[in-house]
Amino acid sequence: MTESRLEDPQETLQRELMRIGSLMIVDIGSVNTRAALFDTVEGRYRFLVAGTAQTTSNFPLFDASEGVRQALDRLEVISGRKLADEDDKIIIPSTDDGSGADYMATTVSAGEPLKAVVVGLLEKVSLASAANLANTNYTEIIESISLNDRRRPEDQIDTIQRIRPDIILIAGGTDNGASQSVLKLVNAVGLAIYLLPEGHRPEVVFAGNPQLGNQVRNFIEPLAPIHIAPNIRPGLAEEQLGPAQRIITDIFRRINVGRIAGMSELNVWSGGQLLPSSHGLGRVIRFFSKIVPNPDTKGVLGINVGASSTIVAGSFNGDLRMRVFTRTGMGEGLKSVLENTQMEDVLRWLPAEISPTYILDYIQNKITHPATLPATREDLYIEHALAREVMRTSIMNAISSFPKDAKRIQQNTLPVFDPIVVGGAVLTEAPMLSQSLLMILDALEPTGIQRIILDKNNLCSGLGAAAAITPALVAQLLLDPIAFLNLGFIISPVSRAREGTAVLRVRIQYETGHENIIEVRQGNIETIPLPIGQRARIFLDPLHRANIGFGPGRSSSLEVVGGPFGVVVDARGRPIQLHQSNEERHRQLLRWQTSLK
Amino acid sequence: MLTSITHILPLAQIRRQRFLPVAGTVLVRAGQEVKADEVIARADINPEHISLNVERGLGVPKNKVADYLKRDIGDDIPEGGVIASRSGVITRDIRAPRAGKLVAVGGGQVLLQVSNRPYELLAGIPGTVLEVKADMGAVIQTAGAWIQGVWGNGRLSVGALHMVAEGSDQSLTSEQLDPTLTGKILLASYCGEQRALELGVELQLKGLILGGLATRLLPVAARAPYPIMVVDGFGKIPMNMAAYKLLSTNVKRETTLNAMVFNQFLGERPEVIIPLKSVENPPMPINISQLKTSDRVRIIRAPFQGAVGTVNAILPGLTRFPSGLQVEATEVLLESGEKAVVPLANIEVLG
Repeated sequence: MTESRLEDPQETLQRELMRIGSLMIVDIGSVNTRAALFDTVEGRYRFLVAGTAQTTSNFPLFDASEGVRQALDRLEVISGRKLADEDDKIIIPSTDDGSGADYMATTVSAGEPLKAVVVGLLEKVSLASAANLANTNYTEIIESISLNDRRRPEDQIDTIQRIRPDIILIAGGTDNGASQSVLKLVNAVGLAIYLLPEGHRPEVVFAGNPQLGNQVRNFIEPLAPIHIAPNIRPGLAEEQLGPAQRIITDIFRRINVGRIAGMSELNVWSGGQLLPSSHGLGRVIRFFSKIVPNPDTKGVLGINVGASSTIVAGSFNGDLRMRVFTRTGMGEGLKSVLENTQMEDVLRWLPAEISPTYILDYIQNKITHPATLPATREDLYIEHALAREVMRTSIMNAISSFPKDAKRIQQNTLPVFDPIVVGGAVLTEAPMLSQSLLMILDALEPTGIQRIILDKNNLCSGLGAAAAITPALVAQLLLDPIAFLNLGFIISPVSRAREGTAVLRVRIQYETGHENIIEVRQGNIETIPLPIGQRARIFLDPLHRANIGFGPGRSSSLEVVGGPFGVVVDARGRPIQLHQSNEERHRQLLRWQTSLK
Repeated sequence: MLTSITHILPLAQIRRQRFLPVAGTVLVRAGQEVKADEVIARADINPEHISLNVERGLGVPKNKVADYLKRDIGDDIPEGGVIASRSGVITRDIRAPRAGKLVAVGGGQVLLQVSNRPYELLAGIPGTVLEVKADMGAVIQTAGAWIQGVWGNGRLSVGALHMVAEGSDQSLTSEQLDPTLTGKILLASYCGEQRALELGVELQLKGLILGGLATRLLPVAARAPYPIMVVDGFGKIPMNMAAYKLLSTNVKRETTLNAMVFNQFLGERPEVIIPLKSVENPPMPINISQLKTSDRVRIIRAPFQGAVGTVNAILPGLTRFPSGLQVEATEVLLESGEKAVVPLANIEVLG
């Protein structure tokens, strides 16, 4: 294997630096509003400061811009740079005295998800694609209507009347495919919209058989805003969500600007390009997947665990597959844990005895007060166990949307990703980095060799929004250790060896010429000392047919850079085997935790 | 730091905008006195539709259906009223199976919109109608004691308040419930017994106000036909002393328990209102303030969950907690006299 450092598009960036100047990014989450400032320092783009305040889009202020101002106040205090004028207006572009910023990019995930009705011909074909399309944004699918629907048409009409959706997504008919049956569905939808009171009518997206575009437009246009997108299912086995996704993003922006006070001015300051946070993260991950070496063999994964929603974005050489799990997160989103997770799945990650009753109450209290923090050790254990489950269930549900031919070391494991970019307060604000890394490894169970990058300043979404202004900036900042924290190289051999059997021999050759050999046994996590930022070459010899991504038992060598734990070998097998006995499992979990020094 | 305020007040002016989701009929006028459970507006928000196949019923071609219609779109039709008819040796009629309105014609069919039970908007609080917004609803104002909760099962009732808890930390058990409590709103502390909630149905309670509720009982509480409100949170936590003292001094008074579902987006919270009519122009509470020393606060996470105290100091810098987190914190002087250091994120200002 050759060196796998990221390419640094310096020349492009230098040109862009001349063009741009300072940049301010803002991300409005359901609990926190975060702002960050970037500027050129000594010819490079640098992350300067970040500030956080409570989101104020809900009761009692009902104005998102107030939270943004408070976050900017914090930036002002830290940076000493004036960002708002005497009238509290954000200074865009910057002035000669250095106040303000030249550009602003805003992303948002706060507010209620859009209520969506998806319509398609066949459940497993166009209806599934319409649902996939809806799931790339902050939508909640309230109702699905298909040709196989056994309800009477008037019942479908009544359902739409009752729901009053924000958006109706209609798919159906491959290119040059079905038309009459699609038009029948469009007619039913049109009638339901016609019967809705004006002012309560949804925006409609038609992303089906393109031959029907004009007919659908002519029929729906007098009733509700209609958007014709390229077919999301041009062929039976082909799905193409990208162009329709952009239309959904525009609708999301329009609805939020109309619904949440303060969004309108933030959108203006952001050049009319306010984006859903998921879209911002998706852009970064897609961009990243194009610039990594060997993009054909490894994808790039992004996961962000918010209070209300979780985003999973996997990109394979520029092909982005994204899922937004609304109502799945560490605050209000814990409802999904209550509804979909077994108590055993949470209990298994606790390194101490805590009663299931206390855990249930913990979850419900956190749903009620999502901004609260775990002050006791037991509460932190629960919080981190829940984070594992939120990430695990999200990735499990997202995996079906990844390409079938994505490289995997073993069936039913995560495809090979490098890097994995992780964000969300529960991970970035854990008391110890080892806790963050262990949560990620336990939940995602990556295989092979990859780096894990922690979006510790929660910059990804905003940088994605800024990518429209300056794409090369994103590349440079992802390499900036001040902006993002590279947790280092993780090597996860896949092996069926018995616990305690040696599965990997690692020889590390330091720049000084010194060498060290470490043998890692199945069931253990080992760290190989390598100071942060220091380079070394490692030679990996899998034992007992263990696989590190090059085939069972096949050796390899690569240049690595030290992270906070040096280089980490996670030889716990896939899936991770936990002891059945509570006492032994508690010891096992604590041992893994202490392995990451 | 800006914090939202939870209201536990012995006397406050309470004002509510009560509007329909769609235009309808407003049934009250400005200056009118209303009860909390009184209907103030009505709207047809969930109409039902019935499709009638004229093409098949009359045996006429799809494109000729319009020729046989006896009604126009928008016409109200009584139950049994003729919608379409074809005369001949045997006259065939298409009649309305229920009273409704003809709303659409097409594809050989007609669509009849029939009314379901209309949506009825309740006043929600007892008081005076301050102003009416045509077709939408009204603003209602009252004065009285006001306690907000964190969870409600979506029901509302009015009744006399009765205390079954002998202390703010006593669990509610089925043994405490007997037929003398029928028709009352009960004040209790913690409930962890399913039978107690079920007995409330049999006794036809008017309501139940709890400090804490076991999460596993949420489905039972949600289904209960009487309103249930949780003041503090979930788990075996006592009712906070501020709420307990206020409620226990209002026993036997007529109480409105509006256990509406907590909506964090809109700030709608379950609440108890005990009207005090004799008082004029009490203060209008504020909903948000900058946290400062001497603020009265409630702790909303372990440890000390449910405890009430005053802010002694907002600590400089970051404070490390047993969990390892280093965050902004405050020192709270609890009513017990104990001092507690708490993350700023884990307190709520009472006011």
